[in-house]
Amino acid sequence: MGLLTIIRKNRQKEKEMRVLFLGLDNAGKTTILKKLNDEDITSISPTLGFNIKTFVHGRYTLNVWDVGGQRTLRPYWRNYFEQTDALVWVVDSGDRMRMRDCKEELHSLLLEDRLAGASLLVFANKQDILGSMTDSEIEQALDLPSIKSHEWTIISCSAVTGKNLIEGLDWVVNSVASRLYYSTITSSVPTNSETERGVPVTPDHGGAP
Amino acid sequence: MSDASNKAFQADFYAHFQASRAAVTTTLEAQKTNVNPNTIQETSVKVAALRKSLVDATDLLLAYDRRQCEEQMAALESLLEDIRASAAPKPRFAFKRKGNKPPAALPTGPKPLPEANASGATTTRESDTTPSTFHTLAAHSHRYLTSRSIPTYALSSPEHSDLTIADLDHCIVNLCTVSSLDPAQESPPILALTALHVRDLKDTILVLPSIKGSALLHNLTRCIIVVGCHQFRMHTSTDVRVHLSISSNPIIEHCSGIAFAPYPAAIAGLAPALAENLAKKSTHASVQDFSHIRQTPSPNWSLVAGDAAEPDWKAILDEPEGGVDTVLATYLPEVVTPVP
Ligand SMILES: Nc1nc2c(ncn2[C@@H]2O[C@H](COP(=O)(O)OP(=O)(O)O)[C@@H](O)[C@H]2O)c(=O)[nH]1
Ligand SMILES: [Mg+2]
Repeated sequence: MGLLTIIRKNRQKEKEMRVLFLGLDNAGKTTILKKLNDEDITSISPTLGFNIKTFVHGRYTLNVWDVGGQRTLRPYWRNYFEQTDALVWVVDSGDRMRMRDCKEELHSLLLEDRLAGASLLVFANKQDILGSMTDSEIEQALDLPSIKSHEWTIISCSAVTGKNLIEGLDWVVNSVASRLYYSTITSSVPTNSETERGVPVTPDHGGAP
Repeated sequence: MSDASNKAFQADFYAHFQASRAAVTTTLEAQKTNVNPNTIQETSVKVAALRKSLVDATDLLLAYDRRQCEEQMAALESLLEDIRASAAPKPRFAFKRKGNKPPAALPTGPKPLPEANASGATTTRESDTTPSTFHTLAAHSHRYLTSRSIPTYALSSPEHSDLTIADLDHCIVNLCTVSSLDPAQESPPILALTALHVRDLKDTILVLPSIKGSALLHNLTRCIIVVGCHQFRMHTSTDVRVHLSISSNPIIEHCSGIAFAPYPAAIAGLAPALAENLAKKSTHASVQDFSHIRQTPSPNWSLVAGDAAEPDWKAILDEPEGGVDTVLATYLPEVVTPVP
């Protein structure tokens, strides 16, 4: 391997970010990622296990982990915490009946040592639906102002129309970059992506592939 | 960790977990008769802490202990949910819009319409106090309900709206046709919905059109659900028959006695708007049970046999002259696992 390749490899590695997409089931995590990737969003099945997507966003490579949010899967979220640079917490803005559940899950995540220091983006998703809660209502319902341990913001978006999705990624990248790389970046459309899939590591399943 | 210290940890953890669980359960049970919001709040912190300790210990526990603790934990969480729900039904709907951000062209705070219903019954609890721009059909028992029963129905644009159905006992909900007994001049358009949230139904039949989005259902007991949607997720429910048209894999979690069948042709045939949005090729049979992630078939759901007799949908959809109970008694027992 030539010197140049090694340097390039290292540089590439250095510009990688690991982003974890979490939230209750039905929030729209998988739909957001597919929309960002220009894939069909009409026949997505609920995520059993996880998907990994890689986006090139500006000068950074984002490795995004999308983990299923069903209650039975939540205990496995912890398997994905290691080396997370940013947490994207996706909220179904119309799911009033589970806002409390949503708040509790988020706040208990933030206690996790391995997520200390990660930037937090809250996506108030499904804003295209009439009657959704606004971002400021969700900010209150999830008690975001009490969060002092993480740099956070809330952005309202729609996975169906695509509104604010890129802006959200921009915030994530800028927040992480200013912490890790001391440089600024500009917005750009994600390009060049790939997907992997997996099932959760459960005792009954005998390990993930 | 060495084997010995691991064993000691497992024993300690198990003992600690069981003791905490017993204490919390006692506190919660007491709340059933004597509710104190502070206690509920404190207890939910304890439940969350217990969940966290279990999650943290997951890797270290024996498979058998872990599964037991998981089940007990889930039972405890659902007990807590139940008690919360019965203690404070209002706050769950009570988020009000604030003026600091423009709510993107939504009609804010419409006054609920008085319900035009033959029986002259009052409007629902929530709508009296909460100005809302989303549709809610909640808190009824022994009633026949249609789109006219939704207080906000006439007020909102029919596109992209969200419907919440909650807290019904012995009801028939028909959002697909107009009752033949209803003297109303014209059929209202069939609701065009983009999201459906359903919670806490007992002995109830729900007949809905296709939703251009997802359906999320919690806590159903002895029900029949007819719906079309892109995604279907059902949690903590028992003895439900689901007539479904769907384009992804339906999922269930913490459920038992669930039967799946296709969306009834008899209902789809009632109006072009009903047939239009059905999945071209429904995957209602590809159910995934998230509580049973194994190679073996899930014991929690089954498919209704293709040659099984269809209910008389017309009898279910028409407003019954003698009240809903007779109709419910005729059709619901089919899904009930017999009670001794
Ligand atoms: N109207 C609308 N529906 C959405 C939006 N995002 C997701 N959905 C729908 O919500 C359901 C759940 O989406 P999914 O991505 O599977 O959620 P996940 O469990 O968080 O991965 C699907 O039926 C999506 O079509 C949105 O922004 N607007
Ligand atoms: Mg998903």
